[in-house]
Amino acid sequence: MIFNLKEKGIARRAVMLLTLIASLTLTSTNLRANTGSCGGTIISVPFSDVQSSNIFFCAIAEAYFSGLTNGTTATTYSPGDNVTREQMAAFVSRTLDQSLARGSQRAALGQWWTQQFFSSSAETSVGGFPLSVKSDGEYLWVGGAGAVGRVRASDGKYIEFWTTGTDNAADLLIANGRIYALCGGSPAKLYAIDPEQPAGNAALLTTLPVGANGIAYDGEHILTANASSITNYHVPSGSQITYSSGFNQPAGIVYDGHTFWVTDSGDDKLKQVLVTGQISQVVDVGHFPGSPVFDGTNIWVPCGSNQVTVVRAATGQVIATLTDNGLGGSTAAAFDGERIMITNGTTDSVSLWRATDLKALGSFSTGAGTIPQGVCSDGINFWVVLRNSEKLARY
Amino acid sequence: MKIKRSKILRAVGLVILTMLAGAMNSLQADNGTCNGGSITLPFSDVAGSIFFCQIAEAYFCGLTNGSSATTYSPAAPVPREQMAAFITRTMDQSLKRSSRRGKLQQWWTQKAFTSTALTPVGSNPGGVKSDGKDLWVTNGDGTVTRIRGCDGKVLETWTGMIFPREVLVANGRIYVIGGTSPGKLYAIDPDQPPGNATLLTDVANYPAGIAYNGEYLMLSSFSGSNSGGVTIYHVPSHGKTTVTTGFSDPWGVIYDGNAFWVTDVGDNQIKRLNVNGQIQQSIVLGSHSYQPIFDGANIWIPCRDQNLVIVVKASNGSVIALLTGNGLSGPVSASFDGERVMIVNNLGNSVSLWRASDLSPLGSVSTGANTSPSGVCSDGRNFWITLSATNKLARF
Repeated sequence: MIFNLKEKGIARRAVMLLTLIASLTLTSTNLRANTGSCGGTIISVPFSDVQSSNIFFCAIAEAYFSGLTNGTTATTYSPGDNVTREQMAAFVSRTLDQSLARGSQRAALGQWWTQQFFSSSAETSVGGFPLSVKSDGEYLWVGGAGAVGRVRASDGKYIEFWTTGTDNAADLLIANGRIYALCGGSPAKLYAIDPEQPAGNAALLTTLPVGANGIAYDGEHILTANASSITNYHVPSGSQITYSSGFNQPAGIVYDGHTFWVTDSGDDKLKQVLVTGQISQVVDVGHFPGSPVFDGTNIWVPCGSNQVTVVRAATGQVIATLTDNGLGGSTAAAFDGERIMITNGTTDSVSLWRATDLKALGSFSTGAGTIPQGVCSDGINFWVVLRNSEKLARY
Repeated sequence: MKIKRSKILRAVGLVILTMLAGAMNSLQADNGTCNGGSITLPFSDVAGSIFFCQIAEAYFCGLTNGSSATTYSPAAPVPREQMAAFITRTMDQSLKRSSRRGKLQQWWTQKAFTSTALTPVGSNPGGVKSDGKDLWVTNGDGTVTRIRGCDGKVLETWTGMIFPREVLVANGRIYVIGGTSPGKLYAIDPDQPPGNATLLTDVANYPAGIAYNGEYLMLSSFSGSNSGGVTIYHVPSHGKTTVTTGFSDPWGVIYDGNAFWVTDVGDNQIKRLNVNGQIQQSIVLGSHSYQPIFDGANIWIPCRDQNLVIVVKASNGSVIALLTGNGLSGPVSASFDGERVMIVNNLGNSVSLWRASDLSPLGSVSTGANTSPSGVCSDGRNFWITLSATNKLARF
């Protein structure tokens, strides 16, 4: 838009006047914070339009103190205004983030940092070509060549190990007071460890089709992802059925509270699977999908092609495809309540994201030639299996 | 004002162009930059919004689905009905993601009790509480068993108590009440090698429940003859008072962060008490209402004889729901794990589970015939249930 000279002059004077009025108003309202009583304590908010008589005074104060709102300006809250949907998105996402940040075990322990490197002082030697790790809340269980080791989380001390013959524990599941160890090979085997007992031989529960890679549980059925099929093992009865129709090369499996999801590296799909073996939905993901993880809303699928596909569990919709952030031959994923960690087998590193807004938090080297594999969270730390250096690394 | 026809034509043309652009926009998703990263959303009307990144987060976390598959309607006002959906989804997602079970990827709901998740304890076990790591179980044979939560291993057995009933963990001590006459309040120091519990004091006859407000222990005493009351024990000074006014036969007691609540099976009421044991409010319940639980907002009260759970808002005592069905059969005790409430059905040999936020039933699970489940607690990961007839502690 072009002003003529006269209009320009008027406009300039108008802007000056408005600026003056605005700054005067601001100065006077700055001095007029409102004070009220909440829970027997006198508190002040910087908003001049929220009187202590407002029945929501204390709720507005809490939302301000907790960072859920910043007001409509530094000195106004505009209590009678409608909330627009874009403002609502800010309210709810800030509320979610703040609830998670404050509710985490790390907050209670004062651990607000994000670790920027792997420290050799936080490594436990576990031996035996380790592949997988799971937490029972207090101990880490590490699956490897012919053995499952037990490591105390509080101090990283190696406690004991259980033997699984010559079979390698590719994945672990902790449920029903047992540590289930899924071992690959031909045939594959499902072992159970009773952690109350003195360490010894793990009990063989059943044999499975060749090449079992992943294990998940729905509260009654254990599903395993095998080289070219899935098996449903019914825990109470011990019976099992194998389904191969529709599966090429299952790689990983996760249960989201409603259904199972199997990654298939034969056709680069994520498949929603019922306990009856039926595939109810198929989602395109990146090349060579590995072991997925669920974050309460979405399934994160690490792919060997240096990408992570994020899938909405309720609908199967791909909501994001993440690249960069140091991804390299990604194989496994874990969730700690706030963050997702992905292990990168070919670049010897892990990549970290904030799970709520998918913000990349960086990638961190696990050391040259370490080959990170399985990963889990115990709610405080992530624990990463370093296959080649035969260590469990605490992050 | 005189406007040339050509101007009108040009204006109409502009409108058509704008509409076409709008149609194209709906086919293409909006992009933005958040935290240095490029983000794509399926909404065609959010580009340039100062709240673009918050809209993205709300979408990624399932807090919003948009106003349609391709629109978010950023400037539209939020009616109160949408507001309810936004805030409940936010609370549910906060709870889900921050739960210990979520962090351990335990997204399942157990469908059956398995024999592999049973730990043998003393005879006729009753109360159970978690100290965060270990479970403490009272047994009718005068002992308390300590069990490691991560694997269910029996660690220790403490002795020297008469009819230990309920247990409470506070102040680095395990408090145990002895259901005898006079009643007993014991303390176990978990630092020490297992041995006899220490008798702290005698209390009113036959205590059945214990709760703590940070300074006072409140013990409810069931007389069986309409002459029960509460004993208030001041932990720092060891002083105690007993109040019987207004009580008949108190059984369960909880503290909700503001007040104590006592169920009274003598007159079928739950009573809100101040710290002096004075009754502030009474609410009529079904008969034989034993051990209630508080979930942060509401008190869940199992009523054995009506196969009913009454949910009472703690802030004002209003009854917000009467829950039936879901396998309720002689319910006696309750526990809350942050997301779910478990009710123990002593007569029906089962437990019933609800989601605490929307009161939706999650089903009931048998504990096995003739097990007589009794007490229950959560350690944030599992529920733990005492099976009084089979002398076991069951993990759910």
